Amino acid sequence: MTRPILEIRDLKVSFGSVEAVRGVSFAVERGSFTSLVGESGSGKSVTALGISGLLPVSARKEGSVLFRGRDGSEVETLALSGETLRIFRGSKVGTIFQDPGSSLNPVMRAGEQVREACVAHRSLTGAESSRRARELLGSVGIGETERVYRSYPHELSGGQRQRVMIAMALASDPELLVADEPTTALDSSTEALIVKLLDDLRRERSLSVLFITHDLGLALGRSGQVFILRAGRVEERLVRAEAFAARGAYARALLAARLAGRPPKTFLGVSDASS
Amino acid sequence: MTRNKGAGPTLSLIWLGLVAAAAVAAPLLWTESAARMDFAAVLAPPSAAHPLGTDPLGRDLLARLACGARVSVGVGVVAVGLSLLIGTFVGGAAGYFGGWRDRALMGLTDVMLCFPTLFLILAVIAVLGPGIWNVVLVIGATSWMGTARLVRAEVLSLREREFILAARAVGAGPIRILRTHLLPNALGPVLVSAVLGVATAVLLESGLSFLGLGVQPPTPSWGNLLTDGKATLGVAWWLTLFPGLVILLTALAANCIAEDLR
Amino acid sequence: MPLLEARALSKRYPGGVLALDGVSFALETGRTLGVVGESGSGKSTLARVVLRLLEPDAGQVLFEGRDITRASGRALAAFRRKAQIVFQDPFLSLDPRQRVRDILAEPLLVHRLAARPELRRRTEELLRRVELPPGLAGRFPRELSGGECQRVSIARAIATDPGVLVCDEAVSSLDAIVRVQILDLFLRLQREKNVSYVFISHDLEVVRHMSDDVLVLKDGVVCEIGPREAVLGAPTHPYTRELVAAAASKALV
Repeated sequence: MTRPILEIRDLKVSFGSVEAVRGVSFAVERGSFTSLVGESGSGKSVTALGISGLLPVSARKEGSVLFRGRDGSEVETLALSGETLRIFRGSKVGTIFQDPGSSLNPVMRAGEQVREACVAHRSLTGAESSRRARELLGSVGIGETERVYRSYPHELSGGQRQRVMIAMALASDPELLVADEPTTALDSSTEALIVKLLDDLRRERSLSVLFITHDLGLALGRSGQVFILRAGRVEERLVRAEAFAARGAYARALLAARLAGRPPKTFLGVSDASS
Repeated sequence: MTRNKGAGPTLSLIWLGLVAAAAVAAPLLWTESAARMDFAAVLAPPSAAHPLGTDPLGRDLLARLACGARVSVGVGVVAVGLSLLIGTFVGGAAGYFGGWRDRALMGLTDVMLCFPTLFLILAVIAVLGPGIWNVVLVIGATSWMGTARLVRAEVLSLREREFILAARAVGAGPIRILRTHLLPNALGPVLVSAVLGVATAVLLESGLSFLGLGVQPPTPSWGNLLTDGKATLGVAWWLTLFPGLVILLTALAANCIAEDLR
Repeated sequence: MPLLEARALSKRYPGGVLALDGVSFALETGRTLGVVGESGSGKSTLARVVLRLLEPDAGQVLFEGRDITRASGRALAAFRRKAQIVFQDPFLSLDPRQRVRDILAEPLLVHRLAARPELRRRTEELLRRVELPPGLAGRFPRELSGGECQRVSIARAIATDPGVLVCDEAVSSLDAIVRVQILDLFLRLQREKNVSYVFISHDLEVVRHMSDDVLVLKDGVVCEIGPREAVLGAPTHPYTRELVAAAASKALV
């Protein structure tokens, strides 16, 4: 059995006096679709930033975020900075965010932005990068590749923008894709397609996917493992092989809070598991 | 108030506190001293007996300044109060109702803004004649435009907020919505403007009284004390310096507080 | 006779966007009409138009059989008393400068349903009905959690004992566990007082859980409307099918 591609041990992140993450530990198996589920204030986004190396310099970090490359190298990402961090971001770990509207440059055409991502970590000629950009747009399920290549972000739909973001994240062939609430701002039909895209890409490219969301149902649909985050700590780990059985009260309450499959117009009676 | 204050706001508060205390207490305690003419100490420079000196009639300047505080600051506060009342009404109605009412009220505001304030005031005083209440009225009636614009802007932005929509859904009428929901939330920036307004009003009153168009002697106001000082500028520097300093410090202090509130 | 009826409501925003195009529905007493639609479908516009918070360009709104589309004055006030709304954002729909007791007192005062001496008792009663401790009456919205704020909004909405409650994404901004607790509250209130709901949500599962009838809205047009089991169980419109399929793909392993 291979070792996990990402191993986080006792990660702590604070901003001033606010402890956003208070000791998070979990592991992402290589090639897996793993989810981190948490409500508002659980610390999931800060954890994602910590893994992607995108925390602001003012943040205080402790603990270990160990990345194991395909080539066997081990990197303590919290210790990276400057140029080494930049190379790590993008070439080993790609990140996509919740709101593609604000993550994409509004005055640059989509195709250009993907091309820029292609040349961020390797040198390609103009023709090569533009071909690769088009390939990437095609591989993320964009039908009208040419039109999208030439469009500005505001001319694209939410789903298309998110696909462009995924294309950009894949540009340097990362081994791990961190998706921080990528579907929260999308319509539910688009949401399902984007999650499926991520899963398909995982299989096609031997990617590992870390999917962060507040929607437990969405996570359960695709994941091999789900880590439930609460108040800056990992509360529980749900495993597909165990039919996502939960031990703790909070996790059980979260599972019970899903509406799918429950008879309509009946009381759900989920008790408040908060202390 | 912000946490990281420099010395400014604190000192300003202290100064304004002294002025306020003088405005309240001095006329009760010192009217006699302010009016008493000590012919033995005419045009006396600052000394132990008269810390700020005396005027040509031997009256103590400190006592007169302290009593003058009530007039000058009083005029400032009442005038600003009047301008706030007018401005809030105009701006609130314009912002909430919109449409032709908004255009009419803002048109009125713009017209008023076209007039150079000082000349307008002088013109009105020329017609109405000098005196405290006329000064208050005219300053109040010509300084409301800034408040009106501020209030209108706040109301316009607040109007679309969900809790206002909720109030409409509950069935509240425009008056209730303005009074209970919009104006209390809109008055923040107006407060800043009001404090600045007091400073401006004090300066305006001083100016008018200096020109002889405001508060008439023997009632002391900072402005007419300045006028008296002008006559004896060559021999009695303290009669000009201290009234001028007091006016300046008060205006500065009010500006400082206003900045801090912002 | 339906309690609330919409007939061919249309609304165009300045700038040309047609938010509603001929939307019709009928809501019976004690039943819930679920409105499912994505962002841009016009569902929030529908909520506001049906409650006369926004004027329709065309169409009619009927309440208790009477056309209230152009009503004003007393007739409008009477409608307001009997038809209320709960908004999406729990914090934004409460005046940040008012304490809970003043927020709850407002509908009672506006419609003259209670004299000042009674207000305290009535507001405490309302808090109890939404399962909040009476001690919360003195707090400001910023001191409450999202779930508590939403309960206050609901308490405000039921203060006048309305026959119709429009819930515009009322649970969408809540955490999962709080969400189901609020849904339970809505169901309980409906059982107690036979309130009718227009329950708007982008989340099909929420609509499925709460509704007797379902209206599917896309780009201001009604794609499908009918009893819940028919619309969600055997959808005829392709858009409805898309929504149902997307929800199904999220279902439990």
